[in-house]
Amino acid sequence: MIKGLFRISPGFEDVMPAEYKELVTTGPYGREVGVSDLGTFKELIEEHPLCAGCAESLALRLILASLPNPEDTVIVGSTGCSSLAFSQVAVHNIHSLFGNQNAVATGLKRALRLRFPDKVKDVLVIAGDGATVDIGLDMVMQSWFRRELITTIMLDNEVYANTGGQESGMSPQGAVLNMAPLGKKFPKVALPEIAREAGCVYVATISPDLPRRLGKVVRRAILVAREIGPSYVQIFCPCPTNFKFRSAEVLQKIRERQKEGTFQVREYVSPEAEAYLAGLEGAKQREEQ
Amino acid sequence: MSEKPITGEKRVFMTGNEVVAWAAVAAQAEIMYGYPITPQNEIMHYWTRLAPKFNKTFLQTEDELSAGFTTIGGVLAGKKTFTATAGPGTVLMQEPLAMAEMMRLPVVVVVMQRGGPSTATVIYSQQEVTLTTFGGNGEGFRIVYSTATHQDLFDYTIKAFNIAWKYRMPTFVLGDGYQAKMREPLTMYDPEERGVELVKPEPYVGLPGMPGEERPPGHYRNTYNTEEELNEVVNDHVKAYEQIQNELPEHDEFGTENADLVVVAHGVVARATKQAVEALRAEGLNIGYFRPITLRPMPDQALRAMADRTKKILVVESAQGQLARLLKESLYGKTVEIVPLFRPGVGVTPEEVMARSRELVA
Repeated sequence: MIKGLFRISPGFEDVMPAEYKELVTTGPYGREVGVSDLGTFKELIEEHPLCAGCAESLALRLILASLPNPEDTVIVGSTGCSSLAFSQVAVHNIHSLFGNQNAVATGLKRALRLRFPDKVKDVLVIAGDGATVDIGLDMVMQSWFRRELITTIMLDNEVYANTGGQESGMSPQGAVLNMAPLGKKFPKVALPEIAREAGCVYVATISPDLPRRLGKVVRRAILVAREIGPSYVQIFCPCPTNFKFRSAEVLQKIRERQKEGTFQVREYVSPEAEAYLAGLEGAKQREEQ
Repeated sequence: MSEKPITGEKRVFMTGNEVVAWAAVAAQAEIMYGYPITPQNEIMHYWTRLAPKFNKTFLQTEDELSAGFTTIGGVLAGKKTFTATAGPGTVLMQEPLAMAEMMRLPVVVVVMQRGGPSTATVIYSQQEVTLTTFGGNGEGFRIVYSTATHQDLFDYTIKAFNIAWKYRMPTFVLGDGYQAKMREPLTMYDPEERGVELVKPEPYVGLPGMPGEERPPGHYRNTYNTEEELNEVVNDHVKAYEQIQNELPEHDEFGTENADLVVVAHGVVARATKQAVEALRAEGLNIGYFRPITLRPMPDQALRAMADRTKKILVVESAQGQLARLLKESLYGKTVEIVPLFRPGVGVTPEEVMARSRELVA
């Protein structure tokens, strides 16, 4: 733990912004907090420039509240709506151009392991569906083939939202979008299945309407990537702006899709990852008892 | 099914991206392959809306590498195919574009420049000049038109298809984010009605006759086994480009006779410099204006003649000297003083140009 790094130098107490002081005194660094504790600690993101009702912003808030070691986490992001929020995030984060996030994360993770052989350094990729499944698919999959110890999270809003609403590989078949005026012609890419086949030891699909479950999934995905292998989490965050529904209806939309069967909450854990997590989670339970 | 999209002359008020889509339709382009990137997205949006009406097609690829290579595929099949991109997309497209250079494929690329390097801004710059003119691992055997107005975008998009297919060289329309997103009036027309002949595309593959018996088989390479073999091919390109250097350079200029100062700019910045020079000349100052329209090949002869007639050159651009580098190469050996006004990634106003010009002739 390096909470000591996040302290204010003597003499600067008066000039530091209130938000910073709050982050130092009640932030999540070095503390065991999670989604259930929201409201009791200073969050790593509190403001963002994303649209009202953006499900991605909700997912991002929950992810950041679930990091097991925020002070030892580096997030690698990509171009898209989420990249607009990262300048407001109080964790090291790197913008990796577009589609190259898993390559940057690979280089970073390997070098961090050299520099800090005895320390946990979590490298977490957070990118949109276009960055993950279209332009970045080769680098994403190659990182999985090589069993890189990184966690890949896709914020799946099923569209190129930042460029004004074009279809992505994750858009559902038939979706009418810019450049798909007659509807998208091929189905949503089955990336969770591909991730499993490509070597991910932990794969989950989730959405922000289940905050506690999302928190658990993110935590597990990060923990297994420390020792067992790559992990992949796909978070369904439908975009009210480009799919033209009301901001307030985002969670309802997720539930409708769940009812339709076009979005399912799923989790795959490899036997090795299962044993590893059972060890960790069992130890935690024993500790609590 | 496909009637003429435009008949007679049509006065319109639209964004530059929309203009490019209409111009491509008017030029009888048949296919667009592309990938979303701001600020060129609406070229694809308008093209996909126009495409079904005029029997044309579109594919959104998984990235710009793929967009460039699918465009090459379309051209090899003998269809007028184009793509559009910007910023980091232009970077990714250099690999297919180098292939197009090597194989002399008539791909047409519209570049709407945004800020750089890397992701930078989605807004505007003139920082893709070097990449568009000399990107790739080659010699810059490309043709680049830098547009300043929406009328230019319409005229030169049509021209780009003709030039690409006539000279068989990758051809670029170099716009920028301001031109892409701004609305402006222009006149659209059917080029053939105006007497502009549209160069017909020709297939590279799928030709009639049994290959090997009635005709030689198509054998399109971009890899060579010996140094000499490659050298011979590149020398052919050099020869072809010499012809292009004689025939294609275009520029616009006024007031450069014995001027105390000539302001040189390209693209949308040339509009600010033009306005500035007109105002300064109205005040009685002896200042001229020069705008290269082709950046590759540069209008070397006109530039060198201009350099002999002026005392100083002020080069203005929304980049850190990318036009200036081309200019210096054109003016090699001339002793005229070149003064920079570089504003990388931001727009230039006539007032800035006027202020700097006044200082230089004071």
